[in-house]
Amino acid sequence: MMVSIGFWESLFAAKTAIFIGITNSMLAAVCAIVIGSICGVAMGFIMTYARKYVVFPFRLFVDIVRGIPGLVVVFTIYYFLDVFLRSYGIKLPGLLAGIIALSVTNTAQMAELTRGALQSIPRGQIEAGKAIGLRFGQILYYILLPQALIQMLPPWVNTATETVKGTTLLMLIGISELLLVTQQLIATNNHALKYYCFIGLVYFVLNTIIELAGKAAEKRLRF
Amino acid sequence: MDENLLQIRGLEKWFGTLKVFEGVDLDVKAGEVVSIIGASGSGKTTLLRCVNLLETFQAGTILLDGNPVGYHEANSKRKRFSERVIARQRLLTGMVFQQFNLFPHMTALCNVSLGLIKVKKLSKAEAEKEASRWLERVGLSDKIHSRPSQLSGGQQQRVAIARAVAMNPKILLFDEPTSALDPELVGEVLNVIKQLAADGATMVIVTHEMRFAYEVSDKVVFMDKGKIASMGTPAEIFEERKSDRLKEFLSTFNS
Repeated sequence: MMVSIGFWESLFAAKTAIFIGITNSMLAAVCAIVIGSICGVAMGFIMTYARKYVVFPFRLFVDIVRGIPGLVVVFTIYYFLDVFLRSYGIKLPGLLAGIIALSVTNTAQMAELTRGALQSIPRGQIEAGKAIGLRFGQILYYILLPQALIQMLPPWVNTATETVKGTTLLMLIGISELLLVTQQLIATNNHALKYYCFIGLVYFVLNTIIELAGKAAEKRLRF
Repeated sequence: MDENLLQIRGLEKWFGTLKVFEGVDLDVKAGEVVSIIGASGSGKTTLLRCVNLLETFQAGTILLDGNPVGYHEANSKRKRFSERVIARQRLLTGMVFQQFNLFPHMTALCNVSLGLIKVKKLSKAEAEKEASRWLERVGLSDKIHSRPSQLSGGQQQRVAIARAVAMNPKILLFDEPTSALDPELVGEVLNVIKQLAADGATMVIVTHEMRFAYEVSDKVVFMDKGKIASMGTPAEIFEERKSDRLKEFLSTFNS
């Protein structure tokens, strides 16, 4: 039954649900960004410096993932994992599937960013490292990685904000993230527009924080 | 007996089907300064990079301090040393690049001390002391905490020289060290190199600065089309100008 109460009143009443929604959204975004960054940077290095036949499967992975819509990745991984785990009698936690799916998308993006950043570092950097007797691993760690990370920072921030927005896709596999929670709340009242404006603001604030942090880091690290 | 610090015999280098040079023989004794001059594409830079093992070579030998570097014979087959061995062999040489190649994310001090810490395994304090000593020697004691982007080209190249000499190599290799510099900055870099030469450092310098080569060298090598066309004292090369090709090349420089 529709009860006519004010927007702020209904928002306050639903604070626990909204908190859970924000928590799930954030959890998914943070996990995907962290996992995606670590795997993506590693993959970017492999794609830049490994032998051709080693690069090939990674190249294929990156191109496929980047070439299909994020939602298709989410559904594919969700149903694949669901079927796979069910054959072992395990019920797939939805949030985990969502995190894995977003991490996969993120990894592909970060791999491509890393590869681009590494390729823009002049060859002379590697040679200068070799000339003072560093081994390749040391050159990677002390010379290439820091330069690549600094250069990647602006597009990395971009990818991170895309990931925060991308968490809304997870509502379609039934994860109680912020958008799904909000839609469920809207179904019980008549404040649809105000609710959407409200969560729009929440996403905007979260992404602004990421952008500002990125800008601050850029300023500190720029060379 | 004069020991050759660097001995190159029958060196041959190909890029695919393009022959860069062949039959290159060169000796450098301890304390000697050898300049390599020649037109672009004559193979002089590539020759220098072979000594530092930044380039592969297809035949011939390079002995540094009596030991072959880069390749060795195993079961009568020519084999490249492992990267680990090559990294150690590179320590015998110090390289100064045309484009400086400083690490842009590090201060001058870190640029110089990185190799001391990670390769020579000095403690951070020792390495920084040694690095600042060398930065002082090249006249940059007030710039040790500057990033490369805050330095002029001449200052960057001097940091690069400090980075190379700090590793205490047996032989210093300069690859056109002043070619990327504005004319007014060339002098400060050449002075540092002259100072090192006066202190007895062994050097091979690829350069287009003929006056500098004349002044600083014990031996000048003229390379032409992948071969050593002439070799001699600065007086023999610059004053006697024995071959036509050498005359032609030197006449393009007005000094």
